[in-house]
Amino acid sequence: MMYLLALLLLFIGLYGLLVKRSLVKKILGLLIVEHAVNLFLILVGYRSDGLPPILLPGEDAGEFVRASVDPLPQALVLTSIVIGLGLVMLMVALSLRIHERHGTLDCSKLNRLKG
Amino acid sequence: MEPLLLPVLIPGVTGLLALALPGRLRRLQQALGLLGTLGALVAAAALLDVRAAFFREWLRLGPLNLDFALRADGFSSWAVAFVGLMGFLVVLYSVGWFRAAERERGPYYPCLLLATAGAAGAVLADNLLLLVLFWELVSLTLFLLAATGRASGAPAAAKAFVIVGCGDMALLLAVVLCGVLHADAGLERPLAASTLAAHPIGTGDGLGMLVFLLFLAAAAAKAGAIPLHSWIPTLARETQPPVMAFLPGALDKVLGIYLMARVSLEWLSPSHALRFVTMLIGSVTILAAVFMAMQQHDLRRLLAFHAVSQVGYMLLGIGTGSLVGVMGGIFHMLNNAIYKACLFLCAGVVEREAGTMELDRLGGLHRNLPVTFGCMLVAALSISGVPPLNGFVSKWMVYQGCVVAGQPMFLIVALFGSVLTLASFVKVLHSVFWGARPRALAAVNERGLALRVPLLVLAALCVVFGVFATVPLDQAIGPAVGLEPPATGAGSVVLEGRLAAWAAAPAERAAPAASFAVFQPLSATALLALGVLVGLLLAYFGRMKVRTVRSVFIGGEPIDPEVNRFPGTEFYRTVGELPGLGRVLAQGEKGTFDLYQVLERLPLLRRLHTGWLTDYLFWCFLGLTVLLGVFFWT
Amino acid sequence: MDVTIYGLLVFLIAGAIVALEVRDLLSSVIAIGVVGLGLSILFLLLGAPDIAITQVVVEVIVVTVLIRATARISDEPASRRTDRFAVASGLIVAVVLFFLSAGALVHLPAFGQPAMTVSRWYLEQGPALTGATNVVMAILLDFRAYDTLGEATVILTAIVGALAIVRGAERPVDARATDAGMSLVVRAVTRWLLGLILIFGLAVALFGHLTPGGGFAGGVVLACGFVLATLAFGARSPPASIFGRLSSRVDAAGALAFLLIALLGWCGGHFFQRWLDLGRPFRLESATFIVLQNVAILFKVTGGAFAGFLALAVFRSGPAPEEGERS
Repeated sequence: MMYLLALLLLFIGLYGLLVKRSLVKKILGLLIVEHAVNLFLILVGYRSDGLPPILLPGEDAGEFVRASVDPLPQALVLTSIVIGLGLVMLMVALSLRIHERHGTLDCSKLNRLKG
Repeated sequence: MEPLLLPVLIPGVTGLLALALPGRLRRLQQALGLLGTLGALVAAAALLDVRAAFFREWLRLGPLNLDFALRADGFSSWAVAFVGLMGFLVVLYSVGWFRAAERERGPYYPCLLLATAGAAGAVLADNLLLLVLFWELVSLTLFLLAATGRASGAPAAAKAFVIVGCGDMALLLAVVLCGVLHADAGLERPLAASTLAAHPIGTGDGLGMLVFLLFLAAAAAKAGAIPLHSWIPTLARETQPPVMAFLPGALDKVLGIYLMARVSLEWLSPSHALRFVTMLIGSVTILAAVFMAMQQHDLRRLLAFHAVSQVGYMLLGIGTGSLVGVMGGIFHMLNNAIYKACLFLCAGVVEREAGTMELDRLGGLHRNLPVTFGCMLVAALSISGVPPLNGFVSKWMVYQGCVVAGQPMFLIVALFGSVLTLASFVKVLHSVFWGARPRALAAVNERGLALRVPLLVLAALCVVFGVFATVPLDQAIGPAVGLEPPATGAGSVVLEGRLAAWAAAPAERAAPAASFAVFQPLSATALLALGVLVGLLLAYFGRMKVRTVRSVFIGGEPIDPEVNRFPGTEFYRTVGELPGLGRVLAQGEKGTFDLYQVLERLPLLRRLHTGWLTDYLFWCFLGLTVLLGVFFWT
Repeated sequence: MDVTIYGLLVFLIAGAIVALEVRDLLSSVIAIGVVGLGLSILFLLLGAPDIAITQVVVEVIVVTVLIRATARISDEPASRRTDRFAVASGLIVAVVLFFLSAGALVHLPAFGQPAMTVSRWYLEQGPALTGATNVVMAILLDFRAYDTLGEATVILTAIVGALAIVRGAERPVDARATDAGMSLVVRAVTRWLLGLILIFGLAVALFGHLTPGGGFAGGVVLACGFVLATLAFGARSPPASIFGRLSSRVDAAGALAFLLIALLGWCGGHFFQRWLDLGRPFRLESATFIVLQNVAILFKVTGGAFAGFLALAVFRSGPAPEEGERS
């Protein structure tokens, strides 16, 4: 059920990506997709009543392994978030250029490639 | 360093280096280009006698393997040497050709270098996926060169990229199908060329036939056989002559026909029906393209149609499936690269010096451009199949292949095409070099050694490969069809017909070796030379006047020779005015048979091609949905 | 606990729908910021403090960039006529894909009981083998440092791409608004906050192997501090302009340093071989190798994020305006 909600979030983003005409809305849609994927990975790695995967001084190693949530998805998601920042910047840069050149961010008007 | 890697690595690395250099350092780029291609040429020449393989495991994609595997047998090492030679000559020519007014744009030398590396890699590759990668590199550089060449080149570049790209897709599909078939049969390394050669796929069933046809489509798109040829004439107008000479003129042909030869000789065993299809495509290509060429009045376009037409001979030869025909087809590929590059480069000199490619506006340049004239004459005679030049030898073998295969119709087509080629080049030579010279072209002259050396080398190769045809036939083409090259001192395999290896080949490809007669190039050349000598002697002693100049008067007034000029474009107008053929040719000129233009005009495609980002995204996700659905329910 | 998570999830979904459906672009950007902040709380609840820190700060920068970028173009009238076909087909595709992928969820372990086959080993051995008691950092910069190198390359490429695209663009002269900075109150607060933020960012990065954080999080925090300084004091104020000029070089230097650290591993045998001692656990010097990498990444991310922000959100218009004009 948790997973389903995360999936729903992903498809809301996908819907925005597919249907919205404004490029800014499309960027937002992609951001939502990215959030959903990150969230999904963390959800999969969650242990009920789990603790962060950080060993504290004096903590028993065996207890730590039993109680900790899965650290692997966290390591992947951490970089994914920062990559997301880079991607947003790239997309915004492209949109700025498009707006400057064509005076619009409406996809339906950007059809110079029409056959 | 592994010697096999060098022909790929040297141009590849220098190409990347040149790519990193700023465009201002033009001289440095030129130097790098020359160095890189020269290095590739030397490295490839060192490979000529090497029979070696290089293997390094790279990726395993499911059951399929993508290994970095290279192999030099006689065939591939000769092809690589050719690639290196062409690269070097074209770079040398480019250094002379470009000047301040029209200088290299974009990453010109890096692209040439990378194309050389890609072609060398594709020819040497011993793994089919690796071949696809290198093959793609060549397609990419073609696009870049065309797109950055002239300001108006973008649509032509896109057209070339789409057509060649479709061919590449067919190639990838065929390769993967091949691999899957072999993996299903439980073979280790299903995509190694040696595995394929050891277990050729039969084309009796539908799947094998599909694989063959996909390979054929890939080769046809790359080499430019009808109906996938139309990018070459379009491109010819929009790119500089050296680019035309290099990629569509030489490398793309080498790659396409190399693939076709490997496919039909080693990797698959095509059935008679498929051979017939190949021959049919070949003969249609010969005739249709040569008719189109006769009607052209732009030198570049005319040469481009000839470049298409010659592919027909190669396909026809390979399609015959008889030893002499296949060898002829492959030999024609090498010969075509030589004389076609020479023709394009000569045309480049004409364009550079005279400033136009319109045959109407050219004429009488044989004194102004003597070297170009000589080289173009040799190349034109060679493409028309006049002995003792190289084009004759390979065409002659293709003709014989048709006879052996029992296909007199194709023989007639091939002969007829050859005659028309000659006719077409008579027109070219007349309109460019003979006839009256327009006054505007009086000051034209040849400049620069860098322009002339490549022409001379290529023209000399035309003669050498014609007179000493047994050398490349024994050393390069023999290994391709499974003949061992003769030991030093022994006679030529081809001439003496020691064809034991061939007779041992599968029954389907075996041809009656008895009806095999090879042209004896040396003695024939001697006879021809004797004939020419006698003719010259007769002319000299008979005091024949070769050329007479008379002034023309009307009513006592001398006529302006400019008005009285008879350009060669009028030569074959009657062909265009024939009732049936003329209309067909006119339609061809308008692009009715151009698959790309036809598709472009299709209403359904036009409507689907909305230009909206959203719509394309929608199609992508629809495809994803379908794929997921398929996975879900199977 | 579960109820909180459910509640937050529903909140995120609602926020996402608002962000997409609101007509005003500014409002939808703010809504996306709300989604991001909610997400970071969720990460904190799910036992992922490293990610929570990173998410918060990244969201701040993203929203700032988006607002600055859309501020000028939001006045464009959004096209009223919604394309019914597009909406219908998009919905259908999304719904069908949703159900198809929902079928795959059955094969996942139930929520709260992760499979953890490899991760168990990481948890058991990570602190001892790498010296980092934050196992996420141990994975990120030691066990899977190759991945991180690849990801750092992606970030570098994206930023370089953004800079290359924006460079040379003719910007409308909007520089004066940015140059002026903000009101006195904001400036005063910022003056106090800035030092704290920078120290916090440095600490997050340096102690990444012991506490939540690391180079990625610390880098974004530092960048966020510089963003704040730029917005508060104006683009021509000393902190903004000095670091602004350096930022893309810092970015490149960080990336090269990371690569160099990896290459030095060759001295010990292979790429990314650890070439420093582990040290005593729970001390700053305990996993010096990871600390070094964290510092390299700190430089990289700070420089990259700030350079991107400057290029996108601070509109330079060719030559600097004359001093007299600025009064």
